[in-house]
This record gives sequence, C-alpha cells and structure tokens, in this order.
Amino acid sequence: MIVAERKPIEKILEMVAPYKKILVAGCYGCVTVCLAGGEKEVGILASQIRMARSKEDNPIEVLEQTVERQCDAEYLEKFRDNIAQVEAVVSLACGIGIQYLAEKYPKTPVFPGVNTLFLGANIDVGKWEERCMACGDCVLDKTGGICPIARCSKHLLNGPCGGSQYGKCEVSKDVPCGWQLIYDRLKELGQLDKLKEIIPPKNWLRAKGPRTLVREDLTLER
Amino acid sequence: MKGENKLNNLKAGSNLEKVLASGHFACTGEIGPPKSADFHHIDMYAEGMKGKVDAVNFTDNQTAIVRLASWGAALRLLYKHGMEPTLQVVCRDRNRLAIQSDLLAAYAHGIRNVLCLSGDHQAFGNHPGCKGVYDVDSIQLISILRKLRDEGRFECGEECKVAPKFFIGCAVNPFADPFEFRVIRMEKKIRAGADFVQTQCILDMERFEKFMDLVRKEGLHERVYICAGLMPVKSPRMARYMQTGVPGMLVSEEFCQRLEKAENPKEEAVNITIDYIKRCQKIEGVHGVHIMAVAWEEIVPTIVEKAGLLPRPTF
Amino acid sequence: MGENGKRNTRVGIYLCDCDGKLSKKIDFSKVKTVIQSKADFEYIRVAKRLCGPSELQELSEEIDKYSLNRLLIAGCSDPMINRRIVEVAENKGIVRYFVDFVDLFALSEGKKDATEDAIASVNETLDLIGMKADVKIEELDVVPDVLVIGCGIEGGVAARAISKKQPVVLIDGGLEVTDGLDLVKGAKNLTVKTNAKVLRVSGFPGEFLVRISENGKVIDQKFGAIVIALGAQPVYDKSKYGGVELGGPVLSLSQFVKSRPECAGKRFTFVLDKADQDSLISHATVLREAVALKEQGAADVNVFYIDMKVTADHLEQMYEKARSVGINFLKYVDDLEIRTTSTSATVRYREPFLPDVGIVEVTSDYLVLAEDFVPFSVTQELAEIMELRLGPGGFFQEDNVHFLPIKSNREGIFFVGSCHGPIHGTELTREVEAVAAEVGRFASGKVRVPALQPRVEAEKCAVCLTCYRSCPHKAIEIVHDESLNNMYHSAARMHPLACRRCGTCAAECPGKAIQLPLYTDQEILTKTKKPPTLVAFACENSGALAAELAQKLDSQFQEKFKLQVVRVPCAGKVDVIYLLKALERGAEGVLVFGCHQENCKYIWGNKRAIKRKEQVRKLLEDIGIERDRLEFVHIAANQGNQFYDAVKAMAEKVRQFGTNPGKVVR
Repeated sequence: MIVAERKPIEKILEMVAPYKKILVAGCYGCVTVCLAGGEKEVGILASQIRMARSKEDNPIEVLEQTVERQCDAEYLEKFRDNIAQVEAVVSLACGIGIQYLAEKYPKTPVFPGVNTLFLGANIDVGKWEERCMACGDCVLDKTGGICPIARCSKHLLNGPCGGSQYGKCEVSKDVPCGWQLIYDRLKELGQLDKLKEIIPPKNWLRAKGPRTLVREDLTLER
Repeated sequence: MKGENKLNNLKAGSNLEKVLASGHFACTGEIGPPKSADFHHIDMYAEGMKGKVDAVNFTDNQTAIVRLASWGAALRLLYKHGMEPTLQVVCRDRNRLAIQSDLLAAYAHGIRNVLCLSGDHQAFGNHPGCKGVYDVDSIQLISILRKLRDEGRFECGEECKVAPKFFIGCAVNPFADPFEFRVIRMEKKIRAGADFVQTQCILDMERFEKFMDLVRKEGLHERVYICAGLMPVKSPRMARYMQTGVPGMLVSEEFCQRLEKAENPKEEAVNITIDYIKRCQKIEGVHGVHIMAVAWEEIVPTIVEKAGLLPRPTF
Repeated sequence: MGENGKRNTRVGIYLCDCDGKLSKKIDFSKVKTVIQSKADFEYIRVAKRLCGPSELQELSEEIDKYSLNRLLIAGCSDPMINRRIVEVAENKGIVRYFVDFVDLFALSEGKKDATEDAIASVNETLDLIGMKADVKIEELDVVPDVLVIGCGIEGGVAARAISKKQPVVLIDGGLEVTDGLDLVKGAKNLTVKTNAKVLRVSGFPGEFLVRISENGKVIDQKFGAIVIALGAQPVYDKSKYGGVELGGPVLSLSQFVKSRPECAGKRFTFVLDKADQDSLISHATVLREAVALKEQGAADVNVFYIDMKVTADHLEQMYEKARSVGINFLKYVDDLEIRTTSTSATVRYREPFLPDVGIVEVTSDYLVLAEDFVPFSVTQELAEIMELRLGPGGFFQEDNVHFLPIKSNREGIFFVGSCHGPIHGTELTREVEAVAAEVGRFASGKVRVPALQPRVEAEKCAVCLTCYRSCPHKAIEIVHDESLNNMYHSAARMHPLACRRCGTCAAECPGKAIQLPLYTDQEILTKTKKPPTLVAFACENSGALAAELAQKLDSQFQEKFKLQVVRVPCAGKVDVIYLLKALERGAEGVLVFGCHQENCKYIWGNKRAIKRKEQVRKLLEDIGIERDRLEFVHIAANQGNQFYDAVKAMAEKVRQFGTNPGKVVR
C-alpha cells in the first residue's frame, strides 16, 4: 500500500490563499487505508480550512468529495461537477492521484494535501513501515524475504555495514538493521550460505525516464 | 604470506604493498582533511609523519561532514611531501560513474592505494537532508577496482585503455553485529578483490583476538594483509562516549578504566596504543597497524617511535 | 417495527404553550396549520400544559389511540419535565431515543415573533425523526452447545447447571484438575473430554468454531458459547509462615482437603489470614472442614484467624455451628511462631484479649495452613488464543466497575468462579446461575436480537481493517460477497451477537463507512447544527448521567452556561469530525465526558477519545485557535458536581478567550 501523511495545514493554507471556493478531494484507496485522505480526513481538512480562514476574516467555501480511486480516469470523472464550481482543488490522494487529477482537469489548479511517503505495511492502527522501494528488480529470493533496498538505510546488497550493532541500524536505535533481520531469517531457514554470494552492482535503470508498463498481451485496441 | 614471491609479483607496486609483501610489520597513519579550503593542517601533520609511516589515509567526508576532498589532500601529500597516500572512497556520495572517473584521475596522478568503504550514513553529518547515493556498496566497489586492474574493464564491461592498477583495501569491523557474519563478509571482500584490510579501531583487544581466531580458522589471514586499526583516545570521557554512543564500536571496560585511573590520560592513551601495537604484533595473521589519531594526528610519530616501529623500510 | 424492514413511523407532535407563556411570541395555530401540510406524522395538537398530570395521562392514552411510536414535543426545555414525558413514553414502549424535544423558549429569545422559527425548528426535527431508522429485530440461528473449560469443582458445577437446558462439552483445558467430574456423572447432554486443550477459537457468539486437541487428536467443533471455569491454583508460600515446610504433621489446606487424615482422637489446628487475605475461600473451606472433623470425632480443632470473614450469609451460620460444636477460634494479632516435630506441630502466639495470659502454645497432631490462590499457568495462553484480557494478578478480566464478574471483553465467552479471582461458594452459585441464564439464550437454537449493530456502507469501505483492529470486543469480521459494491467485494461486518454497540469503530473509520444505528453521524451532526456556547459530548455510562445530576443540582444549569449535552454510547463514539464541526459551527468550547481511566465499559473507548481530543487540539493549534477550547473530562455517573464544575471552568475559560475565531459565519 502507498503510505501518505497529511501536509501541515499552514502549507495547505498558503496554497489556497488566493481562493474563495475550493474542493477537498479524497480517495477511498490507499490513503483511506493509511488514514491520510479518506472521507474522514477530507472532513477534517475542510473544517480546518474553513475555520482558519474564518479566523482571518477571509471566509472560504470548501466542498468535500471522495471517490473510489484518484488513479483511475473513470473515477476522476465524478469530480467534474464540483470542480466546475471551484477555483482550486486540494487532493488528499497520493502523489499519483494528485497528478492524475491535475492532468484530467488542466484548467483548475490542483494542490497536494498529503506528502506521499513510501510503500509499506499497516503494522497496527496508526503504525506503518516501509517494505518496498519499487526498484523493479526483486532480490528477495537471495535475502530471506527481507528487502535490503528498502530496509537497509544504505540499500547495501552484500551485507551490513560496520554500523550495525545490537540488531539496530547506525542511523537510529529505533531502526532495526535490515541486514541483521536478513541474517536472522536466513539462519532460521538454514540458508546462511546465500550470504556468501557477491551480488553485483544493481541495475537501477528500469526504463528510460519515468517507468511505464505496457503489456502487449493485454492492451485493448479499440 | 611469503615475502619474496609477493615482491616479485606486485599488484600495484605501492610502498605499502611492498612493505607488506616483504613481510615487514606495516604502519600507516591517517589525516582527516579540514572543513576548509586550505592545506595548512595537512602539511603540518604530514611533515610530522614523514618517514614514520608507510602511507597516510585521507578520509572521505568522514562522518558525512563536508571536508576537503580526499583525492585533493592525497595529491598534496604526494606532490608537496613526497609521501604515499591511501585514498579513502565512500559509496555514500558518488555513483559508479563519478567514482570510476575520480579513480582514473587519482591513478594518473600517482595514487596507488585505495580503501573502499560504505561510508557513515548522511544522517550523521552536517547535511542530513542530502540524498545518499549508495549506487554501489563497498564490496561492489572493490570488485569494480579489481575489474579495472585485472581485466582492464569498467564496471559496464567496456574496455579501459590505460586502466588504474590499485592496491585495494577494505575495512572490516570485528565489533559490529551480527558477529558471526563479519567473517563471512570479510571473505566476500577478499573474494571481491581486497588486497589489504584495515580494521575498525580496536578498543576491545579480547574481542579482536577472538575475531582473529575465526579469521585464521577460515584461513583468511593467508589471503589478505590485515592491519589492525588503533586509536589513541585522549580522554576517559571520550572513551565512555564511544562505549555507548557510537554504533558499531565496542570499548572494553579495561580500556576505559585505564584512562580513568591514569593521572595523565593523554600519556596513558599513548601507552595503551603502544601496548596494543605490541599485542597485535604477537597475533598470528596481523600484518601491520593503522593508527587513526582522530583530531590528534600530531601524536602519531611519538607512538610509532615509542613502539619501536622505526626505522620504516624503504625500497 | 416491521421485521421486513418496512418503515412504520407514527409521529405524535405536541406543541405546548407552557401555560400561555409562549403564545405571546408564537402563533400556535399557524404553526400547527403549516406543520399539518407536511404528511410525515400521525397526530398533532396544541397543549396548554403538557407537564400537568391530566395532560400526561392524556398523552399516554393518545399514544395507544393513535399507535404512536415517535414523539416530538415542542415547548419548554425543562429537563425534569422532559424526563416525565420520556417516562410516560417509555411506559408505552417508546424508547427515549424516539422522543425529541424542541426548545421554543430558546428560539424565541430576543424575538418579537418566533412563529417562523418555531415552524422551521419543528420541521427540522421532523426530518431528523424521519432519518432515524426503525429498529429491526433479527432472528439468528445459533448453536446451542456450550463449551465449558475446567474440570475442577467450579467447572463441574457450571457444566451440570448448563446441561439442564442445552448440550455441554466439558474439557479440562489441559489441566490435571478433575475433581469436578464426580459432579457431572450421569448428567445427560454432557460430554467430558480430558487431556483436552483449546487450540484456536474463531467465529462469533452463537457459532464459535473451536479447535480442540483431545489426547493429541485435533477436532473442530461449533459452540454457541464458551464458559471458562478453570478455577484458581492454591499455592503454598512458606515465607508467609516463617519458612515452615510442608510435610509430616504440616499440611496445606488443599492437601488436607484432598486426603483428609484419619481424625478420630486427633488434634487439628488451622491457620487462616496469613495467606489468601482477599477471598473467602479459605475461611469457608476451613469452617466446613473443621465442623466435619469435629463431627467425625476429632479430639480438638483450633482455628487461628485475624479477622473472621463471614460476610456471606451462610458462612455466619457455619461459624455459629462451628462454635456450637466446640471448635476453638483463636484470634491472633502478632506473628505466629510455628515449631514442628515429626509427629506434632506447635503454634505459639500472644493472646490479644487476655494480657495476663501472654504467650500461649497450641500443639496438635496436624497443622493445616491456608494457601494463596494464583491463576493456572494456562490462563495466559488461553487468553491469547481467545483474545481475552487479563486483570490484576494475571487472572481473567480487568478491574473495571462496568464489568459483571462473569463477563469477558467478548460476548459469548464467560467466566465462572476463581479463574477471574478467587471467589467463594455462594458467589459461585450466583455466577453459575447468571452464566446459565446468559448461555441459555442460545438453548433453543434461535435468538432474537435488535439489529442495532453498526452498519457498513460497502461503497465506502476500503477494507482497511482499522475498525477490525480497533474493536475492543472482536466483534468485526471482513466478509466477502459479490453483492458488496466495492472493488474488493468485501466489507467489514459487525456481528449482531458480538457487538456491544460502543461505536468506536464508527468513529475510527477513515472512510466514514460505518454508522451506528440511533447515533449516526447525520443525527449527531444535525443535533449540533446550531450549537450554543458550549457542547458536551457525554458518555451514557457516566457523563450523560452526571449531566442529569448536575441538572438536579441547578435546574437552570444548562441555560446558564448555554450548554448542549449530546449523548453518546461511549466516549469512543465521539468522532474527530464532531469536535471540529461543533467549533466550526460556532461553539465556544467543547467538552467530552468519558469514564474514568480503567473503567471504560468498552475497554478503551475513553482512551481513544483522549487521543482524538489531542488530535483536534493539534489541528486547532495549527490554525491559531486556542487548543483549550476542547477538553476531555474523566467522570463517573454520580459526579454531578464535577460535571457542573467542568462546564463552569470551560465557560470561564472561553469567556477569557473571547469569541471563537474559527466560527464560520453563514
């Protein structure tokens, strides 16, 4: 899941400062699951903007709407009526949704209401952890199912640096050393031999420029 | 390692390599370049170490703090002082493109020793928000240098007409975890192409001796030159801080207490370092010492002299 | 209330003129005429003084006559009068929730003619009533079988009682305690499994799927309910007796009960109150055993005690009987000194009542020492498997005044006896009766429940598991069904038998997909559409009751502070949005009243509310609005004064702050 976090309100207020009527656009996808941009957060942000502007004697009208996913054009269509009425949109979707919304409504300024953080798991209510960096070349088979790219602070591929101690990363005592986790897991699996392999420099280039995925076997010729 | 054979079959031909290959107990120093655009301190420390050490390491933006470039400092040593530098290269700040290009220039200028490191994480330094590169890791960097030297090819496989032939060093930290993995990792580094090892500074001699047991058990001491890293620690407070506050560092109680009990801790720091040098000389498989007197570079000549490591061999 | 879900709303509207006080400003006949043009009600009339006894009687009759099931009362807002009206309504089967009031005094304040305001307000309230869902009664199939865990006396008693009405499987839970098996011998409807442990419990009350390993063989069986009756483990702690070891003439009480020695002509001494100070078990056991010994010809029976606990009624009789058969009760104050030989034991103590006597020695053939009770070691494991919460000393159940002793944090799973802290025989009897009655609901295989559990709008459900994880009662499942209208064809579902309707899930839902019937967001937000100066969200288990008490202390209290009290089933139902909206709509201050720290009826609703308060305070602070306009107050139902004081303090605070700058003027 994509994990995001609400932007500080002062940043959002700055973005919408010139406007008198805006839409706060939510998404029922990942950002709902990570409690950053679902219907509830839309309500919270809308309230907060109205109150802040009221306080400044500069009232603003804030519409609220949440759709299934902002990363699909069909769902973005649902915003059309509301967007026609407003001067700007604050989207609480992830960076993908925000861009796609902006793309679909080129005449209306679209602003980010969240910071998109990482691809992670929802460990418990209110807790998320990064698990994948979408490097495009998965090595989990070699590392006991624990990703050294996402979970080692230096993305090292051949073992822990000299800063790993007592299971923690040198960066912080709160961060487990990814390579310690890998070591422990491989030990449990009886696969410590896998650590002896020298993994060559990684091919970070997955495509020329931004990545796309086209599967000719699936594309639809209309 | 038998000296004679090795001397006839040098990989890079640096002074340090010759010292080690000829079976002498090596002794190297280290200078941290300044956070400013001048050579004043480098010149001062270099003069002091002249004739006292076989090579001098220059750290590469140590602890992720911006400093004068290690290659710039290394060239100064080479040209101005006629001494041999060991160029430290970390993976944090440059990608394989930049690293290889820097090393071409370094070699062309006459630098022959390179120490390959991951580098302290950028979060520690004075630009914690910078983008860490880590395009390659230290083991991959070693293999790149070896490929250039032995195959005359860049990482990408393209040919390098005049390829740099470095004496390739790596770091080994016997004090970090997982302890059992440290030997596996050292072996990987050797297999990737490391010629010599400089260890993390040893402030817990027993743990180091235990580590060397494992190293000998695997026969690694016969495949690589091992230089024990030593650090004179000026104050007991500093020792205690390193005991608890520095990741990947182990400081023995004995080490701290010796400093605490000493009337003159600085003097004691020198004594401890000399003791440790002597202990290292007795450990089978230790081929030299690397003295990193962080922010106390001027003490290196004294230590070397008192430890009886003089005169240094010349070739 | 149609079971088929068809609406059947019959509203009675009463416009009360409050003895002519209101007709100066409101044209009642006009209000009535305009309202009559709306079709959404059954009966309307103007009343002169609805609170008078004769009019109340009339109201009561009209409810029957017109089959009213909703009331809208427009008039004064005296809470004492409102209460009387609610009483009448409730006597006629209209629950409080279906009685709404419009305060005509408040809306006519400062106005010459408030007729239009009255019409608007009544109309709005009518809409609100229209939104209130019917309460549907659901009939569910359930498994009548009950699993009882624990083959000790307590488990045996419980199993026997329950098996009178429905099938029971009694397992030992992996303990070697089987002294209750005699009690269930020959009982019909009852299966005993020994060396049997619970491995896993899934599902919900009425249909738990339990995986049991019996002698290593794994079986899955369905049970409607589970009763844990493991008992507690007696443990002899020699440090409490000056290091005296058991053996020879010294026995622990449980050893003694298990294998009572030949007693004719022998001398026995019991020591109480050194161990097991909190329960009545040791006292009851010693009284029973002492009398039996005496009756069976023991030469001499002594009982040492500090404080004879005879609070349960039949213990008093036992004590009297014991005295009458000649048992010596010896009170001690200081430490006892115990000396033993291979054949006898001597207790030395200082006689507290007869100073002249001083030190006394009592020698007997057997010395029996009371023990402490601790949870069996399997308790922890079972708690983890069944997701039950443990309390003080590692026993089942938390220390929470809202919990009946037999209730766990999950519906359908009950405790009986000492597994939730040592209890004594008569308490056990009561608990067994209570549990038998609870599980008895399932005996017929069918159970009828009002479908009041939260509803999930699948279109909005992101299946994020927030509710599932936040539910204190494990009452939520994620169901998959092609008919569910979202990309996952899945949605959370609150089980009607497992849910306790606290509403925590609804408040946590990031998609606003969950609505708790009778307390939907729409209803609560409509109620607070035009908030007065202060809004208090009050938990019905504490704050709302304290508010009523505060009202009794000062009937003008709510008017004085311009306070609106919004009742919620639990502070955990109070949504961040409610708090923000109240302030956005112009309240100067907002309070949340929840139960005291460890006393939330729904485990952690109050803690969630405190977190949300902090969240909203931060949101306010970030836009430069005083964070202290929002407060959470821990309160108990009987703390009317504290409620009053908290409101007063908030009123004072917001007065000092001045007008809420965030109020959005429309």
